[in-house]
Amino acid sequence: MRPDRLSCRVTLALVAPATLVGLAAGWTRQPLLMTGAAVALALAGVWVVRVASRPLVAATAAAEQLATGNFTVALPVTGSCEERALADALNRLGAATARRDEQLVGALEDAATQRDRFYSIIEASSDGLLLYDRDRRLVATNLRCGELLGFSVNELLTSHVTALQEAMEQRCDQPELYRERLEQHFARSDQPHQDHLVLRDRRRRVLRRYSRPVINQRGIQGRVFTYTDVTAESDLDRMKSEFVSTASHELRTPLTSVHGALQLALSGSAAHLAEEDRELLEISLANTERLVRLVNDLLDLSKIESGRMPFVVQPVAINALIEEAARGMQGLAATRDTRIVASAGAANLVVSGDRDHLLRVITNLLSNAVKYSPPGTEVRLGARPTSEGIEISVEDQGPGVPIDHVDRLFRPFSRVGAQERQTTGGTGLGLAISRAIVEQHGGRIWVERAVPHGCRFAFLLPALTPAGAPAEAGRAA
Amino acid sequence: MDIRTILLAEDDPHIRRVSEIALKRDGFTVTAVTDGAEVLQLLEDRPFDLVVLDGMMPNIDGLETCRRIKADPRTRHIPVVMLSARTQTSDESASRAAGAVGYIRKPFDALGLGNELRRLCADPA
Repeated sequence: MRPDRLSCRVTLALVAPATLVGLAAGWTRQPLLMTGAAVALALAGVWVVRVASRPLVAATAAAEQLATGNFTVALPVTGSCEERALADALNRLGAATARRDEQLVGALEDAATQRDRFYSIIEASSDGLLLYDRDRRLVATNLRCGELLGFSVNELLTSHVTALQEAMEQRCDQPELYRERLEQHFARSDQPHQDHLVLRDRRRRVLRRYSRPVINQRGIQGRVFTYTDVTAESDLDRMKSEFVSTASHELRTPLTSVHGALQLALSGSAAHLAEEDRELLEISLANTERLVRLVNDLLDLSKIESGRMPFVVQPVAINALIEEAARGMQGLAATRDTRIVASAGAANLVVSGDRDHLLRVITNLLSNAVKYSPPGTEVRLGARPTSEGIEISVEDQGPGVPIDHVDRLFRPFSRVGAQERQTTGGTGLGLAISRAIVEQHGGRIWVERAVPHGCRFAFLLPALTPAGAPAEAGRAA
Repeated sequence: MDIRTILLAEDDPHIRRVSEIALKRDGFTVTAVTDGAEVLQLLEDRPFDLVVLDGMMPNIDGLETCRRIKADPRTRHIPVVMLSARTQTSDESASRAAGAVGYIRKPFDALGLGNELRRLCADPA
């Protein structure tokens, strides 16, 4: 109800009883006296009304003042008990409202400060940022994100999500892969997820995309994506692998003639060679062969790591793979008086991958195990399904791996001891190549202690999805 | 088919000589030249049972030489094998596209080179 209407009604209500009292009193007196008395009474009534209504008028004015946002109300606390109570209540209402108002203004200022800070932070980032709410609506982004993805911030914030997605797909090499990957981010709603995007509009750009859920006490509120430009790193990687490729070609040419010449010298008129000369030539040949393996392995590692090794991805039956690897290594095992015991398990395990490369990983692990095994021991090769995929392991009863070597074992040229280089005859790249192959298949490789002694190398590959769709094995496109 | 005469083109003199010796010891009659132009020139004069070409040579490279041999009705029946120190799979498919029956990577096994060439010609897979 509006204050002006309230004040009118209060005044009328006070006038009416006073007039009635005056009229009732007049009827019992003489006419003149009655008239005089009536006038006096009427005046008195007006006075009473005026005086009595004065605090209410002030209160009304005070209430109106409060309503307009001026909270400095200071009514004199005088008059009747009710009047004092009213004035006091209004004064306190004013003070309380003033305090609340101050708090509200403060909170709004805080919110504005927080918002400014938030925008300063996301604008200062060299990464692009997209914040989605639970319904996948884009609620915040930064200029950098627009720059990286090729949109204006306005486009990002006002375009429909599907329109943005379509525009992004056009910027990517493989639209379907882009769509699939984006769904993977949203699918793992409570987990962080990372992948790479290659965009081609004006120039080729490689972005690392990372996303994690936005979570508060009420649960998952959305998802935040960051995009980091890794084009420079990617170019550097490419330059490195191009260098390795060129260098290996340049090394191969002289190696071809050295290797061939030594082979021919030893095979042709070998009978005429003095024993020592023959030995020297054999040493040269053995080391040339080693050099050839080294150059080949270096090139392979570079190609696999850079994702330039062409993988033929198809369903691979683990049983057959394990049997083939074991068969291929029986010869070496026999010369070392060790035995390879292969068991692929009862289940028909199938993974999606490049058969030759997976065979190379198993062969490499087997060859290491055989080389480090004491004579008369067994090397066990097996596979089993786990909750994460399919685990393939090679276990030996050799000296094991010192704990401080476990981390760097899979790095290029890291061996347990320098003398191993002479005795094992490997290139020092086998485990690095194995790791690169396994990682390109979306898996991981590790080593652990075997019981009672020796070590157990294992790698995990994602199992073929039930639908039979081969998982994609190459690196980010 | 029975292979007796081989025309070998390789610009690196040492690889050329080693290959020549290896193939001679295997019983072939080898003519060794340094580039594709010489190969095409020699093929004008007389036939060979097999042509072995290094991929990267000056003037006319191995692939181009192979294409020209295959484009000429007089020489297209002669099998061609490519040699390459590069390992890109694209090189191998490019060799096949140019009409080569096979592709041998360097460094190759000098003692097994003749047999490998025979195998490639007998089984052009």
